[in-house]
Amino acid sequence: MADGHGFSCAATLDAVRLLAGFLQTTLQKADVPEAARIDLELAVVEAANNIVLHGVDGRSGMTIALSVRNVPGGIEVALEDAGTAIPSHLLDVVAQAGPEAECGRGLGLIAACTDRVNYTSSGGRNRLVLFKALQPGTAA
Amino acid sequence: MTDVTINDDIVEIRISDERVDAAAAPDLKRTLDQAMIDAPKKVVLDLGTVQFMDSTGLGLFVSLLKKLGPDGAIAVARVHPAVARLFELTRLDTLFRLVPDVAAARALVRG
Repeated sequence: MADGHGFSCAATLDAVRLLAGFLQTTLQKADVPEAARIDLELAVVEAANNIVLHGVDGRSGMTIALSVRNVPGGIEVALEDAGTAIPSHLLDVVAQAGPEAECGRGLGLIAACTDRVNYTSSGGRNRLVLFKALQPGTAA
Repeated sequence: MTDVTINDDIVEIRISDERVDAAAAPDLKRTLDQAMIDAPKKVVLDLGTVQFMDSTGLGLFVSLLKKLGPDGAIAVARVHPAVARLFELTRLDTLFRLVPDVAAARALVRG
């Protein structure tokens, strides 16, 4: 997986499942441990759901692009879209939702499931890069 | 697909889908809302088939728990590791009681 793998799909909630399936297949082929695969799938699904529900918000013809690659020390997963960017104030401080909250856990889960998160938005493209550290020798 | 059975004082909800996510949430919410009308306040949730849940799916169960009120009880049985991880990360494993099987869940909600 050194050169990375990519996948693109419509920005819909149904298609987020395709994204998750591609991610799992790619990570399994790379022998990424189950615990890391679980965390990365959850982070990617939460991020993709946010893109669909808040970034795209019903506009048709939008897509989400996912790429996965080995980097030194771990796995890097990137999502790109052309929807409305995440407001920076939401990224500055990721609040923990209270126990009775029925929504609002997405960004907190993305942060909790990964070791580093980077978000950029320019030229109408948003790019979220998630890094998951792996123990040496645990991924191909 | 979701099967709802009422056994005496317990509602048993068995979710047969592999994913409880944002795509599945609208249908599941309707099913849960319908199932809980005039239903007992003790709930056993069997997630044995569910391989993945996201925060939208989890929100449905938080909503269910809140609707049960202070006299209600809910136990979650046969939780897949990915789903258990979601409960753990959100610290809702302290609010929902996760148990290995349905029999243990029944015993737990009956107190």
